[in-house]
Amino acid sequence: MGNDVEKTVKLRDYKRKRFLLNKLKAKKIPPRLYAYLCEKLVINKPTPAEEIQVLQIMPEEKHIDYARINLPNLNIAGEGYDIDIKKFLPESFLAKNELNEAETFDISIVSDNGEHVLITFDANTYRFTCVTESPGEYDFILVRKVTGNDIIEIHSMPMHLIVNPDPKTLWKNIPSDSTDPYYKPDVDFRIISCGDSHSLIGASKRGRSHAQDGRFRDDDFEMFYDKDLQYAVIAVADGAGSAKFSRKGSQIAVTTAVNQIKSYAGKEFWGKIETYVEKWQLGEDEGYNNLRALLYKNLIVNAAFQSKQNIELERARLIKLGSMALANSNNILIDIKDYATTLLISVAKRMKQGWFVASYWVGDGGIGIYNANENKVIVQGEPDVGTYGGQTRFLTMNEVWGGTYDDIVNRRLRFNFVDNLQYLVLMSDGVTDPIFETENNLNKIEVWHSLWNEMGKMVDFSTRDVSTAKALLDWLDFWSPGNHDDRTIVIMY
Amino acid sequence: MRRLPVYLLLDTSGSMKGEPIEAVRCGIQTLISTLRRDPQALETVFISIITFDREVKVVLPLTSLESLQIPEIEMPDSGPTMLGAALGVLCQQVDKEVILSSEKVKKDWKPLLFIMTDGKPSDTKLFQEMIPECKKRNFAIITGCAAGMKADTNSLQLIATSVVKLDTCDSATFEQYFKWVSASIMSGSQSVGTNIELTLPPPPSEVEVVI
Repeated sequence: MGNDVEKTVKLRDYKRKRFLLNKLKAKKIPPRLYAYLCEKLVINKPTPAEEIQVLQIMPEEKHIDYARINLPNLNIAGEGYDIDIKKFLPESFLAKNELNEAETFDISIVSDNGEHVLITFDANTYRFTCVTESPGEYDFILVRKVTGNDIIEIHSMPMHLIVNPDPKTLWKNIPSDSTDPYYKPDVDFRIISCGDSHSLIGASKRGRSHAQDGRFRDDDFEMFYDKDLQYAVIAVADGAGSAKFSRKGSQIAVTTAVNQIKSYAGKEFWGKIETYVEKWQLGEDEGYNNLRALLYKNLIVNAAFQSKQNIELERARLIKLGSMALANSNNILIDIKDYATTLLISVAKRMKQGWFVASYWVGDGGIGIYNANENKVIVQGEPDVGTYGGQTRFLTMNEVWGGTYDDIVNRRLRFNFVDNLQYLVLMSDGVTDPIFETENNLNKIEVWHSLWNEMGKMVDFSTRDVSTAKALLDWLDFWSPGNHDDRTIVIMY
Repeated sequence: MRRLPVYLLLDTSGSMKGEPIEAVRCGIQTLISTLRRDPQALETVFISIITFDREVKVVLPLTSLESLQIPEIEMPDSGPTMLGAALGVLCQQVDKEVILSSEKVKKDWKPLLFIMTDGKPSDTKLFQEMIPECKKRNFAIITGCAAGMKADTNSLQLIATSVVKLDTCDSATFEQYFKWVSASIMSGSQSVGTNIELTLPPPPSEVEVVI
């Protein structure tokens, strides 16, 4: 019985094998089935010719593969990359093992995006160079072939390189929505003549970080010169980046400030100021104290306060206009914070012996009376900065208006008398951040000199027409890594 | 130039071994390459990665996005989840690395913190003690990510300003999560010149927001 079963199985296997071999000869067997049958040893696998060849060479070559090394990143695509890679290579990769050996190096690109990159390797200096315009990640293999008497060693080192994009190519310039009720142009530049000796020039430009996603310019400025009474008013404001209506807040702030000062500062008012300035210059406390009080109550501090009040009114108006598309689109409460803005105001009045300059300052940015000839700068106040970067105070905050008269005046009001007014400069933090870096540097005359040096390459201050203002606007486009906020500068010169 | 420091605190305890940690690695890769394509982030973001299992390792000290290379992440087979100890190391790193006041260089932006865990802290007492310490470091946002069904959202809620929950620890979910992290970082790097609270972009549908 057992023998019969055995015979039957053997016969079946024989028939199956013969059938398969016949099929194979006729090439009718599918490859996957063939592989399966080879594995099960139903049929004998023929030895391919290639394998024999490989076996003949094998004894002479020794392949040594290494773990991938990461080269330091190429920081900006398009820039040159030339480094000594010896320090990244393990000792064994370069080890010498035999006398009379000959070594060759070969480098190749293995990544799919390889057509975008050119590389070289110098075996004498171990310098690796790379040129590419295309950011991305690249893989290379460095092969060191050592041909000895009995053996050929092939050392293979995979190398990885990350190429960062050039940030300049990543910025987009998306226009802001001109149908928005709070729309304002992405740039502004103007020049006003102030009689024979001086001019007022201002430029404001939307920052790259705003242009990147079509946001508005949140900075603003306003300026005015009264030819009869010979005084100038300058206001610069920087709306908070994340406050949704800050472009309007800054606009209201600068226009209100200038209009308020225009309405207060009549002939009689300046007469009083002039009297007190003379007394103050003679060292009399009465002069100093009265100047403080007048500037506080009847001029710049009051103007700043009115700016804040007008922002409040605008907020109330918007809430009333509930049907307005602007408010509807943001179906939430409108807060005064939504209009958050800084405000810098300066008033410069010509007097018999020189210029009286007074400033009020809330927030960051900078106000300076700069005299290149006399190698002197007076910073009229101090910026509001917090523990961390980007923190500041805004005109709309209650804390700015808290405290006593002395608190407010000591903190935010400054006035000086100068014989020669060469430059009076007001800037938003989009300019002061990249130029001065720290608040301390605002007081350093060297930094002011270098600012003027840089600006002077594009702006010719000996001209006084609209092309000068346009040049100032063009200068505002300067490149500074990480500094892409709105930029505004107003100069009286 | 002002830096935006970003701290990633990653759970590498035994339960993360295998697919989850690979998914996290891919997620970080996505995060870095997304940020590199954003001009503002590319110039300002600095990233640090701290892992925690039975021990805490600073696998990547605060490094600029430009020069950053993703480090190898090693992990044990099993053991406790020392999140409390990790917060301690985090505070030390923040004190050492984040520039608050200097006359010579620019101050940093408020740092951002992302914590990812698939369990709950084993060192409960230390964890409780570290919560007020972390709050003192004034992070602009602290996001907790509870990955997988066993993750404890309650302890994360104690420290985080917002908590998201991922139902699974696969690569698709982590990819979505890290895309959201990169969107948060980019909005952080854009909020220039304000101290108004940061708001996070809405998370993707795969991510369930707890708070």
